[in-house]
Order: sequence, then structure tokens, then C-alpha cells
Amino acid sequence: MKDAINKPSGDLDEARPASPARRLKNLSEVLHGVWHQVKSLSGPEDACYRLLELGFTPGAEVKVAQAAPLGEPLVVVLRGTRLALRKDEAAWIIVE
Amino acid sequence: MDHCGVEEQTSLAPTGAPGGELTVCLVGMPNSGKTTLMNALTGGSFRTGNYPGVTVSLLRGRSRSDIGEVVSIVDLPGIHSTVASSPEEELSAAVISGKHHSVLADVFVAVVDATQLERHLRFASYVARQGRPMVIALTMVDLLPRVGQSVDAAKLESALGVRVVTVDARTGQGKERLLEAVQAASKSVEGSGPLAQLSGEPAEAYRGLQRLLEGSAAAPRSGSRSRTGDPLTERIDRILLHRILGFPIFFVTLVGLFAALFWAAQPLMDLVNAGFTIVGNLVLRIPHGGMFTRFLSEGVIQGIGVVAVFFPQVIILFFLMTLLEDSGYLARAATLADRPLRLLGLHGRSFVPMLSGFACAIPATLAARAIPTRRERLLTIWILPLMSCSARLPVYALLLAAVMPPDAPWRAGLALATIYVGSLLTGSLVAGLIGRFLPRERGVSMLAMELPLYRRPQLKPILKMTWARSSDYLKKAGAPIAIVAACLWLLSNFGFGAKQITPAGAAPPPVISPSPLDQSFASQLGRMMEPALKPMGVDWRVGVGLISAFAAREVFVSSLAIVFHVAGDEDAQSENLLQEMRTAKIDGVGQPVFTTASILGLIIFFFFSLQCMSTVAVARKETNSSRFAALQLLFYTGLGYLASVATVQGLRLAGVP
Repeated sequence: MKDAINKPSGDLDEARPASPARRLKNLSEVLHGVWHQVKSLSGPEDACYRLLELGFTPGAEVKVAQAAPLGEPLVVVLRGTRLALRKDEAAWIIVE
Repeated sequence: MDHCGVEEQTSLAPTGAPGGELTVCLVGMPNSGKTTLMNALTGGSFRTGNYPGVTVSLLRGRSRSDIGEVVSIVDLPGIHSTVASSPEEELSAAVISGKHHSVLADVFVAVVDATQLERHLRFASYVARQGRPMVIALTMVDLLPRVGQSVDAAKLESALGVRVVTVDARTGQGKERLLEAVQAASKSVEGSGPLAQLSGEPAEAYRGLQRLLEGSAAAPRSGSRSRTGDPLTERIDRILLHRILGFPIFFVTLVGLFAALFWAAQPLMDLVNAGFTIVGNLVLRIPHGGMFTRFLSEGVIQGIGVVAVFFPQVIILFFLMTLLEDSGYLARAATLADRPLRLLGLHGRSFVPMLSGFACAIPATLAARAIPTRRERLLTIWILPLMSCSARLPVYALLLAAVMPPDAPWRAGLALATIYVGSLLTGSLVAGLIGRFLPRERGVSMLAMELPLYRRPQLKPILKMTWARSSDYLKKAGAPIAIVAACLWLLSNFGFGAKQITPAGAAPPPVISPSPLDQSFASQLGRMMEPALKPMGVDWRVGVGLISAFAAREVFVSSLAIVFHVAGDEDAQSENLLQEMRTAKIDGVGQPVFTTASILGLIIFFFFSLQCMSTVAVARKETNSSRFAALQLLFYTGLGYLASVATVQGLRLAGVP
């Protein structure tokens, strides 16, 4: 099942030369309350698979609603679900 | 009324549903309403809640006969991922894939939260691919308007090729139709519909699902398709998870919870107390009863009564915890706690076991299964005995009442709050220290926790669950308390007859006979311990209480009642335990047993000590390590003793009696 992972690094490499890096951010550094689109995932393999399963697939729309006190976890809205994500986890999600 | 028993099972006997009943497995993602649905179907009530991952083991029951043909129902722990990471996910994944050694489902009921259709249907597609008959139970439909969505069950059914039944898990509405659909599904040969044909690869599956949903118009929405959310939940979260207000609200909630324990429980406790006194006195009046009626009245009835006085508190604690869980706040509390807990080597999901630990360490240890990595799980289980469980409540309440002036109940409340916060802080400290010795683990620890929509808690299901939890606690605690109380009464009322002091050890054969307390077996046992008890500033009678408390901590209270009660004369029988404690003197010394120092020392002892054999047994089973359990027992009991002695001696040095 794990080989089904869509290779995150591949996506990134393709995306970088085409559009300048300023448009790509990871989810831990985006403005709160603004909808973004998931581009790819870049992190440990099993973590990425889990994030995919949670619905962080390329093209999915995602918003950081707020951060909990102490700066994390982040409250992320995705496919009608609110999720608490740690900053590390959010940083594996590359959005546009 | 066919109320079917629901048993909680950790290791399952073979399925063997009685009388060829169908075995129906409820599967779904965490917090989809599975266990609530199970409740509605079986009429039995057990743990459910608005917190992801409350089903800690398989729950099994049978459907009520008045809602259709009886089926045997298994509730599987909710799972996020088909690649299991926690033990409970492994269990569910094994059953779904048909690889579990003993549970074989005839029909799967995939419980799907209508407000999170895509995510939950993707999970359902994983179940559908196994090729077993299945039905989708669509829950949370009442919440759809809040998130600006609607779902057409009929269109969904034809789009997916799977039976879809709308149910309201909380009211049970739709359960009859669900059972009909289950029967129909079990009889029909299912072709593999569009749902089963979805890809196993998540991104593909989500794309396929979106096409299915859009093509069928089964779930029309107002506004943007993927940008849905509940504005109300968002507003509430902005306050409850606020940068500045978040933690104060968290603490106020917890303080309020414990304050309510004392204010609300008092009148009920007085009532229980009065009831047991009346019954005990009635039994004493039975003519010609002699020793036996005394045994019943003083040993059994008073023994249970002294502990039963604290049941109202326990019930209120369970009620408030269930309320928090059901409203959705518990998941937020876990979110708030994740960062601080992570610093200690724990996980946000350690919060719920820790909070449950304030009720009882046994369900708390089981709840630790939801923690994804082994290291974090072991560490959580290690510190759970420190959480101030409800069995300690009677002990603290008694000791605090003995040391505090009765005219200021708030001071006892404050002291108790300090104990509770202190147990949390000590747990943190221990976790931080022990964590250094545990090896790091490969693999990533992830939080990725779902925050359910806030819901207005409904009284009836909460009361039902409170009752289920409380009665479970009473059943578990009641028998050992009664048995220990009875044994103790016998031990403290019988001995080897009158003292035989013969010069050269030519004692006559000892005869067991009724004896005054100071010549009883209990006193002999206690006196053997006296060298160890002396540094704690207490005498053998308290020692008897401490030993019997290993059956269950609250037994300490009833033991004290017995050893001090029989120590008094006839008149003293009508006085309560507190009065006895105030006047008790150490034999031969004339110094009071219960001084400020010795009471504080006892509180400290109970604070640390792992005086609960059931907890030790569960920890051994859950960690699969006798060494872990034995180490835990020695560590905490030793720590408790040392800390207690240090407290008493330190206070005495400082001039506190």
C-alpha cells in the first residue's frame, strides 16, 4: 500500500522552476483565514501517507483557521473537517 | 424489555453468534457516532463520546428484539488510516480485512459522518473493497444545515452502489431501517459498486469520490464545494482556543469541575450517610443476634457505608466528564495540552487518559491505546497512577476534614484542588524524568487530531452514560470493599484469646476466640509493621488501613472506621469516624495519632503510592510486561513512603505536631 504514495519531491521539483518559489509555501507559514490549495507533500513517507489519507491531496482546499495558544497546534480546515495539526506536520504540506 | 448485556472485550472469544445470528461490525473513522449508534441499537449504554478514539476495545452486544431481527453487534475502534499505527487501529484493520483470528463480520455497517462526507466515504470505500456485504449508516445529518450542506441518501445510494440509511445515533431514529438494510444486505449477492471500485490510493480515491458526488448531485451544497465549515464552531474555537484566553478557560473549566464535586455533592453525601446509619442501627436491634448482627452492622453495613458516602461525588465527576466529552470541548483540551505534553515526551492524546485517570486508572490505562507511538503510550501509562483517582477522593476528603476546621469548607476545597493540580504537575515531572531513560523510537509521532463540531449536549444520553460508568465503578469497587471490610472486622474482633504470658514460652495451644481489639489478629499484624509506621507518625491501626487499601484505596476509610469504631466503647458507636479520629491516641504514648503532620504525611503517601492491585494488573496486560508493572508498583509505593516520612519528620522539625 505504501508504494501508492504520490512522490512528494517529484511534484516539488516540477513546480519550482515553473513558478517562482514565492508562490509556494508550507502550511505552517501561511496567513490564517485564507484558503490555499495543496500542491504536494514533503516529509517522512509514512507521515505523508497519513496526511494523504486525511485528505491533504493535491488540489484540496485548505485553510489555517487559527493557532492554539503557544503557537501550535494549528487548527486546519479541510474537506469540512477541523483538524489540529502540529507545526511540523503542517510544514510537510506545500500549498499555493 | 429485552435489554441485552454488552460486554467489553479485549481478547475475544470466537465470534459464534448465538442461534446463527448475523455478526454485524460497526466500522468508521473516530468520532463518527459509532458507539452512540451501538448504544441505540443494543439499548445497552456504554462509553461513547464526542472525542475521537473513545472506543478502546471491542464492544459487543446484541440488538434489541423490538427493533427487528436480533443481530450480534461488534463496535470496532475508530480508525483514521488503513495503515494502522496504534494498537486499536491494528485491531480494526485486522477485522475489516478479515484477518482477525476471531471476529468475522457477516455485514459491515460503515458509519459515515454526513458533515465530512468525502473523508468518511473514502474510508467506507476501503471497507467496500473487502467485498463483504455492507451498509452505510449516515449520521450527523442534523448538523448538515450548520455547515451549509445537504445529503440526499437515495441519490447517494445509487451513486455508490451501497445501501445508505440515515440514522440519528443519539435518538435512535432510523435504527429499524438500518437493521432491515443489514438483513437485506446479508441475503443479497453484492456486485462491486462504484464505491468498491474506487482506487486504494488516497488522492485517486478522493478524486473519484468527488466525481461520484458531483455526478449524482447527492450532496448539493451552498457555496464553494470544498470550503465548507461550521461558522459556529469556528467562532467558539476562536474563543476557547484563543491565544490569551485559551489556557485560562481551560483551567477555569477544570477548577469548576472539581469545585462542583464538593458543592453539589454535600447534601447527597449527608443523605447517604444518614441512610446507612439507620440501616446499621436497625440491624443491631435484631434480637439474639449477638456477634453476628454486630458483624453485619459494624463490619459490612458501616464498612460499605463509609465508602458509599463518596459515591455521589464519583457520579458527579463522571457526569461532568461525560458532559465535556459530549460537547466537543475534550478534543480542544487535548489540543491545548499537546504542546506542553510534548515537552514531557507525551502526546496530546495523553490528555484524555490522564483526565480519565482522575476518575479511575483502569479505564485510563485502556484509553492510552489511542496513543500512536509505543514510547508515548508507555510513558503515559507510567504516570497514570499519579493522577488523583476517585478512589483517593474518599481518603482525601476524610483526611482533609480531619485536619481542616469544619467552619471553612472552602479551605478543604482549595486543598483538594491543590492536590489535584499537584498530581498533574508531579505526573509531568515524572514523565519528563523517566522519558530520558526510554529509548527514542523510529517513526514519527503525529497529532493530526480531528476537532468535532460543537454540539449542544443532550441530557438523556449523558445521564445514561454517566449511569453506565458509575454503575461499572460501583460494581468494580463494591465487592472488594465489602469483602475487605468483612475480613477486617473479623480480624479486628478475633484473636488468640486472652493474652497468655508464660515465662518460658510454654504457651498453651492458641484458641481463636472473640478478643478485644488490642489483642486481635489485626493488632498483631499492625504491630509487626509498627517500626515502618513510626516514622510516618501513625500507629498500627492506620497500618491496618494502609495494608487493606491495596485492595482499593477507598477501603482505607472503611478500615479506619472498623479499627477505630471497635476501639471505642458502646457510646462511641454512635459517634462518627471523624470524632474517633480526633480523640485517638497512640497506645502507651498518649500522643494523638492524627496530628497535622501525620495527616499530611498520609495524604502525601496516598498521593504517590500505587495502592491498587487492579491497576497493576491492567498495566501489566496493556504493556505486556510484568517488569513494567512491578517496577511501577515499587517505584510509586516506595516514593510514597519516603515522601511521607520526609514530610512528617520535616514538619516535626519545624515544630508542627
